[in-house]
Amino acid sequence: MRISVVAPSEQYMALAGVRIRYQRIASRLEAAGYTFDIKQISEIDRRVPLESDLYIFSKCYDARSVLAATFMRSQGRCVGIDVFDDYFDQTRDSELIRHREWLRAMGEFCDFFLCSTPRMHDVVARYLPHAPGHILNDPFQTYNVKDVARLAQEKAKRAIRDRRIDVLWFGIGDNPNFHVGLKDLAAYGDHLQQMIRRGFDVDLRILTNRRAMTVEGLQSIGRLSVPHVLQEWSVEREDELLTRSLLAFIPVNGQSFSVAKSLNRAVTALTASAQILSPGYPLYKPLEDFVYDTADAFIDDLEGGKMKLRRATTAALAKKLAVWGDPERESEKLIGFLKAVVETPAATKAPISSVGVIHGVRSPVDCHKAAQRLGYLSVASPMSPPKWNYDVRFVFDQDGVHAQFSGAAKVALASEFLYQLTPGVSPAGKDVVCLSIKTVLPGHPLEAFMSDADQRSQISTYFGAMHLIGDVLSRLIPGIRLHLSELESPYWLAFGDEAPGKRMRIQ
Amino acid sequence: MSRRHVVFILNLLQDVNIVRPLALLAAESIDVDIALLVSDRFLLRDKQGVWKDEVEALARRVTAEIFIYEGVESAYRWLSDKYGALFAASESNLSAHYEVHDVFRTAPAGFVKITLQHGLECVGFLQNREHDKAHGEAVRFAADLVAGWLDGPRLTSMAPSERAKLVVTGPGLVLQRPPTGSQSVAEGLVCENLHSVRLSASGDFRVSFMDLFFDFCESLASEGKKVALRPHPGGQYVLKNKLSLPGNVVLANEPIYRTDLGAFRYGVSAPSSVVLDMVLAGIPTAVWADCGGVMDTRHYEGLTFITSMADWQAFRRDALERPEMILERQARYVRDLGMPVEPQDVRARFLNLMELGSRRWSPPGAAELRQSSKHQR
Repeated sequence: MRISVVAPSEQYMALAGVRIRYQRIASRLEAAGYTFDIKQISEIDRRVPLESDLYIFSKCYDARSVLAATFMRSQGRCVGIDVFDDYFDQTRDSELIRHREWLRAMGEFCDFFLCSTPRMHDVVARYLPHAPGHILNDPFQTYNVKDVARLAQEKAKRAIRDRRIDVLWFGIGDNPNFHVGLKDLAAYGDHLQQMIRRGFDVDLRILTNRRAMTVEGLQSIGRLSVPHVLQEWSVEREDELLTRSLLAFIPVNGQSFSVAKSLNRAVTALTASAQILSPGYPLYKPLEDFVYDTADAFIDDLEGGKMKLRRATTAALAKKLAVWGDPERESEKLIGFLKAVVETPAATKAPISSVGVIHGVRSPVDCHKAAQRLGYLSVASPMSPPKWNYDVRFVFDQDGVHAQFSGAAKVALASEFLYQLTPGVSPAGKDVVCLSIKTVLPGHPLEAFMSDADQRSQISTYFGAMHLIGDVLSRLIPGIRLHLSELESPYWLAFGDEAPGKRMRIQ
Repeated sequence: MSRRHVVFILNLLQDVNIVRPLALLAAESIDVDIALLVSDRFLLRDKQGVWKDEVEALARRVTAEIFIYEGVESAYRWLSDKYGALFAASESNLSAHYEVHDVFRTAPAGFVKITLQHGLECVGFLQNREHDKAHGEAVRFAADLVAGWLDGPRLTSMAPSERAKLVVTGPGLVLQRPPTGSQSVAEGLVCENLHSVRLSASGDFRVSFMDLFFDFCESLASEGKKVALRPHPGGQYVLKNKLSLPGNVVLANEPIYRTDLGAFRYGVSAPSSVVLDMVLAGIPTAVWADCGGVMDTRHYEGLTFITSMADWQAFRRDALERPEMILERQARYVRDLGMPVEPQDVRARFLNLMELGSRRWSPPGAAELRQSSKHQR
């Protein structure tokens, strides 16, 4: 079996998610006789035969993945998603409506889903009730038990001798939608102050992504009452500082996004010989024998020579980790799951004759390109960027509203309209063929709508505009399936946000 | 933690003029580490590399470290193990000042942050109508303290939220000791600040200023005299726009602290702080204003104004033949401003500020906590 993970961009390849989730099991899948690779979504092209039997979309939260999944399914491939960030459970948060709509849209094409935690499984299952799900625990990097024991002991000794605790906070410091990262560090900073009160100096290192180092981010860590050194994250620095630090400080807040996170930060720290202090939500409960939740308990153990991670407990740690992220075991379970998925015949669905994507106010140009690469129609709305070379757009002039079609779109038109086509030139300067809406769909409300300049590009008319365009297109191209490409949240609101799994249709 | 610091931020090219006398003062008077925190944009702005050399020379003279910061996070990291006083010559919430404003917003608690008034008319301190139009009337600072030239009631543009931050120091420029007794290169000095919103926010006055200047040059040429033209250090309008200048114009583009203003027999400028430099240097000074009276010149009221060629020539005649009359008027103007201008006085005021900034509390370590709890017992 050939398996491909589909990623949104090249930058994504360097992210922790990819490194931890896929690269640590890749060699094991290959050893078991499977082909495994990570592809960028821009490589999916109808002119290039699909090599894999099974595709897993990872972090592709826009219409590109919906179009690519449509294409893969039409080619008889198995399609799934891997979800390890919870952008879907906050049903009252209008900022995230595009994520929820994305998951609903993907639900139609998904044969299965992967996720990182039981909680994430519950969330996704509500949207995809018919698709089987599998929890792929973040696999840990192989580590040497003896080294961990030795280093943990050395670091504890040094801390007692110098009366100083080397602490590391590491991770993504920001998120556009949630208060996490540096904000958590600042909010729980008092735990570090408590160590000072107990007679130890604290040397805090902060490793995070550059994007998080905004004025607001810096202001929040600037309020920490312990001295700290801020550095830009890299995998090498993380390794180096975890090995050097006695303690990894990993506070977790209680919001849905944070409580759905995997154990990977704690596992990474433990396997690099760092103790863990994790105040806040007990995310790391499965590892509770190795995790402190208060600074006092940590200092008590340090002074008592009984750190949770020490020579005597490393065997128990190994046993525990074998359950929660042993790469060997995780790849075996994954293979078992994927085999079953591939062997289950996909429910037959009515073939889709045409597929199109309507672009909204903020639609990535990559979506437009992806649609055309896959042989689907890229459709302009009155709000979308005017200069793209769309397959379908509606223009208004003194003779009324005209639909303009590219060569690809012309082929899809119902035959009765073909003889009414007239030649024209698109605003992008391309030769197109045109249909007068007045002639082919007399009395259609799109005519009145487009004639009113005030209405054409307003938020309040967004919903109406999309529906009118959808309606016209479904009449001109019978059976067309339309998706919306929109990253600007308020506009999605017009489509309503009902129960998980129930999806609004444009036409 | 390192020794206490006095750090000066340099972002706009003209900041050097403001910061330099204070860096020299700190170096000769107090026992601190001095550092110059220079934005990467400063180097970009300094296309000819002139100011980079000036900054390096200053750093050598006061034994200061220079750190060039690229973005707020690198300044944050550099400052994070230091404490003391942090001075900036151009800091406010205006977009033109964000490089410094953000450093102030994120500076560690161990620093007292002080924004310096950098001109008589200065955003957030004392604005003219053109400033108000261009920048609004609610300019704010991220500083803990702002060092003003005048006392509170006269700084009419300070937002109520900022007033409690005001410490009156007077202008640092009176601490400059420019060369004296040099040979004059020209009879008079004309200063241009054509880049300024003062000459564009209420209409384009640049042309009328330059036309009048060219006429004046011509009349001087007929007498075989020369005139010096000084472009604003940050604006450099005549150079950037490659204006062709009459043959009897000498460019005076040295930094103000190396210009012997006293060597000129008179000076002329559109409303700008350089007017005050010339007044304090004791040369007859005239303020140019547009003939329609559109520009807001109220903060210079009391000085000699010129709007036409006749005014200009009359001013020159008076300056050459009866300078005392103009100088007396100028002395009255300075007195009426109520601005501290005695170097000893201004020096003491700035030193107070630097000492204050050097005694800021920083979080105690474990040893200090142990010490203080023993003490309490």
